Amino acid sequence: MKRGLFFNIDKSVRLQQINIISCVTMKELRDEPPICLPGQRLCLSDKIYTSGQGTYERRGYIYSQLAGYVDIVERDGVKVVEVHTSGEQTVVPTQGDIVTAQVYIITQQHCKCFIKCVGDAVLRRPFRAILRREDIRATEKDKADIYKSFRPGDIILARVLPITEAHTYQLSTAENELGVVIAHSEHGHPMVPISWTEMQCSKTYIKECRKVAKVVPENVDQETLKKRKKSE
Amino acid sequence: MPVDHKRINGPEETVPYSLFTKLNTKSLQQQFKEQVRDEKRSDNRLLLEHRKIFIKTGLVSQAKGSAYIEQGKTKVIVSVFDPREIPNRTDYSLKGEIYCEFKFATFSCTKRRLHQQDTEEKQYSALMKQALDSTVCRHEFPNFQVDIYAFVLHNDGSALSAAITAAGVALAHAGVPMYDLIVSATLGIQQNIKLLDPSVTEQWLCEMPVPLDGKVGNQGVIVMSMLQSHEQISQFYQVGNLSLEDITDSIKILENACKELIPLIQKHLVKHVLKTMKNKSEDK
Amino acid sequence: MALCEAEKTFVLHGVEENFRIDGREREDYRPMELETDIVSHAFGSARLRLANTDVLVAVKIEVDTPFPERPFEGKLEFFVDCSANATPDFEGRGGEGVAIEISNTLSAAYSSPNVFDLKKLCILKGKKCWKVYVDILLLECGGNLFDAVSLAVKAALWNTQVPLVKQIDIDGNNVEIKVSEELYDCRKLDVEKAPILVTVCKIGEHCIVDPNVAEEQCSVGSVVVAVSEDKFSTILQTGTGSLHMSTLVDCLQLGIKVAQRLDAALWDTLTLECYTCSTTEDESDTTCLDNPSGVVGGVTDCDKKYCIIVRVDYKDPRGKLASILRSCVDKPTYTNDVIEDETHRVYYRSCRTAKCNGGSGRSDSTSDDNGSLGDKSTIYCPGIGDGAVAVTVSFSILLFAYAFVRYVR
Repeated sequence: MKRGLFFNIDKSVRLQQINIISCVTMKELRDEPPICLPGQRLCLSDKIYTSGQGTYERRGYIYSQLAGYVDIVERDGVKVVEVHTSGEQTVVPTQGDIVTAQVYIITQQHCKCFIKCVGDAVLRRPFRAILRREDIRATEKDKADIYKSFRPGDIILARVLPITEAHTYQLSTAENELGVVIAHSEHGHPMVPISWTEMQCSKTYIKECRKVAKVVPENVDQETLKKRKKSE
Repeated sequence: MPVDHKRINGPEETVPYSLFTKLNTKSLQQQFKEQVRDEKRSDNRLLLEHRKIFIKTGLVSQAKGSAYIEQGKTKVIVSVFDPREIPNRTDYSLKGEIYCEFKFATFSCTKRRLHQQDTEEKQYSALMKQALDSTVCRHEFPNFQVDIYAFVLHNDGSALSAAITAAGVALAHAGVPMYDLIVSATLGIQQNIKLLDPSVTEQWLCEMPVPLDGKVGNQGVIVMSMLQSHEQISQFYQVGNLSLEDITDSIKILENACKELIPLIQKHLVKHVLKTMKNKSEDK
Repeated sequence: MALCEAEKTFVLHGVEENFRIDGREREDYRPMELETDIVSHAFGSARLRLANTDVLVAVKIEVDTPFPERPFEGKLEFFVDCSANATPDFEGRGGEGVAIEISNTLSAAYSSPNVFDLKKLCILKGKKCWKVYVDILLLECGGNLFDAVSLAVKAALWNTQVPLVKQIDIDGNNVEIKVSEELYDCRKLDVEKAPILVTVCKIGEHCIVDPNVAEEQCSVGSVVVAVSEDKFSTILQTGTGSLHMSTLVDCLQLGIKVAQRLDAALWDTLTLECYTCSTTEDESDTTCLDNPSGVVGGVTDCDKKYCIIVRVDYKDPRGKLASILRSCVDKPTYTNDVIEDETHRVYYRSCRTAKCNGGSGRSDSTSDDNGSLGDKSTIYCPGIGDGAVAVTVSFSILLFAYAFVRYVR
């Protein structure tokens, strides 16, 4: 693979003097990925290379959007050029993401939450989201009750629904693995799940209704999860 | 004049004492001659020489990205915050928004500034937004707003340019997707004398016609921001009284000035990337 | 107004063909109407309607103290009021951004002393000055606000009457000024160099002027230029896109060209140049009769509404000239009439366009070369105020300024 097209950035050389140049092999890319800056021309956009995350295409060339390093991922025989930031990536919830949220208001029809984490990335600023009554459960949707499923202060796992014209995110807990993870009883003590609809206070042993999530331990990988699902 | 009643404001009608000192009795012509003498400026710069720039990133820990710039004595801090939902908006916007706030510190100028934004600061905020709107890939964060705050600690001329340049660095530092790096430069013009990166006195003198050698002519200040690799002008602002030829000449001068600034910023950002990558690999 | 992609493409193609959606060419303006002196409480006012854009400007003058750092200068301030009537988007604080943008651009454009001399507003150094408030009310938004506002502001400032200061009494720190009590004893502001703003909009590969709402939406970037005579007093880039250097220079060239034409059209509409001379049968010099443009100092920049000719002929010998007077008046005795008595026949002619009283006075059409309704023709429009008149000024590029100048006083 000698078709190198990237800027090989010498740390001390002025970037501007460099044109489309020196060959970078895939191996070099792994060991010492080239650094790029916003607006930097990376390579021609053609059948072999296409623009991926962190890049944009303009007049047949691929340019970088970020200050970071270049990465090439091969997908379906096409080499996708990606740029990743060296620092923290800006995370924004998108459709289908599993998010961790905190409930803060409940009404008859919906409950309002703050999204605190997306996947395992903690957000610096929470995003507002809404969970409607009909999105609580997958089956018997009409029988679900907000106040029997969530209480203010609960930490829930939920999935982001497709973003509509509405301005806030919509969440859904209509999966076994989604729902309340951490909750406190009326007296403020932590509760433990006892069934998928109930939790019990660790101090007072009062039972309260919740839509409990079946928390999958982190070390269980997707394969075993699928197998388990099948066996169920 | 809007007054913030929650703060203790100074007496309404105060005047800086410097207006009454002897310095102030000098004519404009004299003042200008003191600034520019034999193709040299008061700080020993050539007419078209930019001041030295110092840039540092990551000063503001709570911000996603930040940059501090020193351009001569002009000092500006710019911080960029994570995208957030656009407040008070209900409709869906396909492109994200940029919110800019430009503020002079109360002690940054010779005359004390108020805590609230005045019209000049609002105008500068609008110009900053204009410069950055076409720089940031706004389609990447629909329905969100990126907040950018520029705070001038010391104003020694060309503060807006310094703020825009720093904002570009801060955005790159924050990892906000951008089409290009942005740099900005200011040019002051008084008749046939063009002063690149004017100091605050030079800028002030270029804002009004000063009689030189007995005649009054063209004068003005131009601020231009450029996206270098695409050769695009993202912001252009001029005040004064200038002919078309003056402006076309100025555009060329400013373009060259921007071209000279770019490597500095690139070098700094490359250093920053290398440093963070090293830190990351050490963490692992 | 939200446009879909297909509509935008349609607009874009129109611009490329040099045939815009409303039939204009790229450098054409939409028709304009201008009225001055319509707010009785204001010192000067103007209303400009540019197709669907409607702007009302009123000027108020107050006495103030000059800024300590500028003791010789008066003050000029612009306020833009975005009424929610203009567009529902302005409801609440919605119009704030537009208002600030316009007023800041205007202050920047008027800031240079070469353009508008604030020193003329000073009454007494460091103590008293005039403060001119220019209040701009947007009544309807149909695109191209900057241009419309700047034209209306210039017209309103031109119309402004500054009271004459008769006497200044200084008693210690107290300053008393006495203003002339005579109602019409006023001074006009010098606004000949006041800037005109022109928005040059880039659509596709071309630049256009006077964009309407649809075209504004299609534009990626535009340049607002403030032009005073042959100089730029402010240049501001607006819109969300960036421009290439050569495009910027193209925009500036187009902007200055159009602004100068626009300024000339406005000035023609505001002021009225008439031939002023007279001759009688006893005088041997007949240039005033035959060739009024040849009279030295025979053209006056009148501040009146009509150019007139009063020609007195003898009945016997028929057609022999007794006297001819070319002048300007606010209210002609007879607009167009022939009055006869026993010995004389008196022709009264009046007209409303620049130098239109150059004819012989006999024919109904005051100026001989202005017989047909072409350039510089006079059309009487009954029903719009007192002797209102429509003036059509057209240029080589079909830039129309229909100005209905109505005088209330």
